[in-house]
Amino acid sequence: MRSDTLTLVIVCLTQYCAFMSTDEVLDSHIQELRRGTVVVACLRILQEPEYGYRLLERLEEAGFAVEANTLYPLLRRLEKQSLLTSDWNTDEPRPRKYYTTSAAGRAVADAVMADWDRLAKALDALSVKGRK
Amino acid sequence: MTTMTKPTLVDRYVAVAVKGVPAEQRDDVGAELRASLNDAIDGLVDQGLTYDEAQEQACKDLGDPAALAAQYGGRQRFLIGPEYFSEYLLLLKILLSIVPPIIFCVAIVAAAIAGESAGQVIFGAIGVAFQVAVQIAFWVTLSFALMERAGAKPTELSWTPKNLPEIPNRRIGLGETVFSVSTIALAMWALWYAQDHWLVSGVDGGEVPLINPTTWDFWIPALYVVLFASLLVEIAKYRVGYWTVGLATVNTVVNVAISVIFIAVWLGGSVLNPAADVSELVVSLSRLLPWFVLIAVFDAGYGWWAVYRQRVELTIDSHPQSV
Repeated sequence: MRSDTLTLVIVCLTQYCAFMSTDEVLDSHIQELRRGTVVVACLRILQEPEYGYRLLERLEEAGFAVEANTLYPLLRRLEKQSLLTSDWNTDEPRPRKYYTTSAAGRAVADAVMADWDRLAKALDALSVKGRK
Repeated sequence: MTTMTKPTLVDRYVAVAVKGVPAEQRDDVGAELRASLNDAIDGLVDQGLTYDEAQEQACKDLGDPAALAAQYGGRQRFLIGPEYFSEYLLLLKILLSIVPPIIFCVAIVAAAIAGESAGQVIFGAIGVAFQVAVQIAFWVTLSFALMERAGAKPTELSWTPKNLPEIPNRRIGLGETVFSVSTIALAMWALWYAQDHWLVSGVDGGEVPLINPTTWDFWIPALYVVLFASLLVEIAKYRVGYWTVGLATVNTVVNVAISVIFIAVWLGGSVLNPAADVSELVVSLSRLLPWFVLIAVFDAGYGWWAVYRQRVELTIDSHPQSV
């Protein structure tokens, strides 16, 4: 009886570990795929000036799960690359930094989207081939 | 705006985070981070948390402030990055495979000169070699870490197909080299040790050195030079990783030199101390001489044989489909 329980526990643990690891693998791949899409989403949303926290909310609403500690440094990097411009708004009691997509940023977003379309079509074509 | 209250969690979080951010961005990043945190706190309070809970949750959501700072392009969270790592490893391997063994041999000779006991000599030399190895590792690592932070780009060291080693598999292992080097070092030490400690009873009674002190005038110093040369051959061999024609040639020269020295000293009849009572010993030792020369011939020949064998294997390996 004891050994049966133990076996059951071991089997469950093994299954759980295997499940966890495949889950982690999947997670890492999906994360990799999403990384570039957040950039495009930011460049699109920021056609209108927006500040960090509000952008985070809007990304979430739009279906882009991104961590705050990823987004804030990302905004800085995009600014450094001149894809975003920024302005401090000190009219309100809480001063906030507003980011806006620059002309270069719009061009990059368009180019990345074009590539995205091309890749999506190419992947579709592969899946169709696979099904046949 | 300025209040005299004690720093809040937000204040403390921002203080830690900006510490890791480049100085010129510190104020800007700090102000933005503070606003973002306060926005997040407001959002959490709207969801029904108390202010203190919201503050703690907002900081928790942003995670380790040091990691966040690193994301802002501040301090790197590694010592030596991938750009330098292969050069770092290569230099470390080269230096560690050359310098400590040399220091080890030098320390053995130096300690033997100082007349220390065999145990003292060996352990002292191991200790010194180890210290040198630690020093090398430390300074090489520090230099590369500083280079990494100085932002120098190793463009001239960037990889090209020419960097590929001639023969990918190493045929001469570390074990073989360590064995050879320590054997040579032991011979060097024994030679030195013998002059004062290898005593036999003399013809006139009392104890005298077995080896004739006059051989120290020329032959033994010459032998030291040759032994040192063979030490260099061993190290060069390890660095290259396989036998080459050049190495085989030098190895032959070294073996011929050792044999010449031995034969010359022996035929000169001055190797054993005339003051020593060694008539039986002379007979038994003279039987050993041909064997010694045979070993030298074998060692010299081995180098050439290894070169030949490698050539044959290479021609077979590199044309697997040319049938």
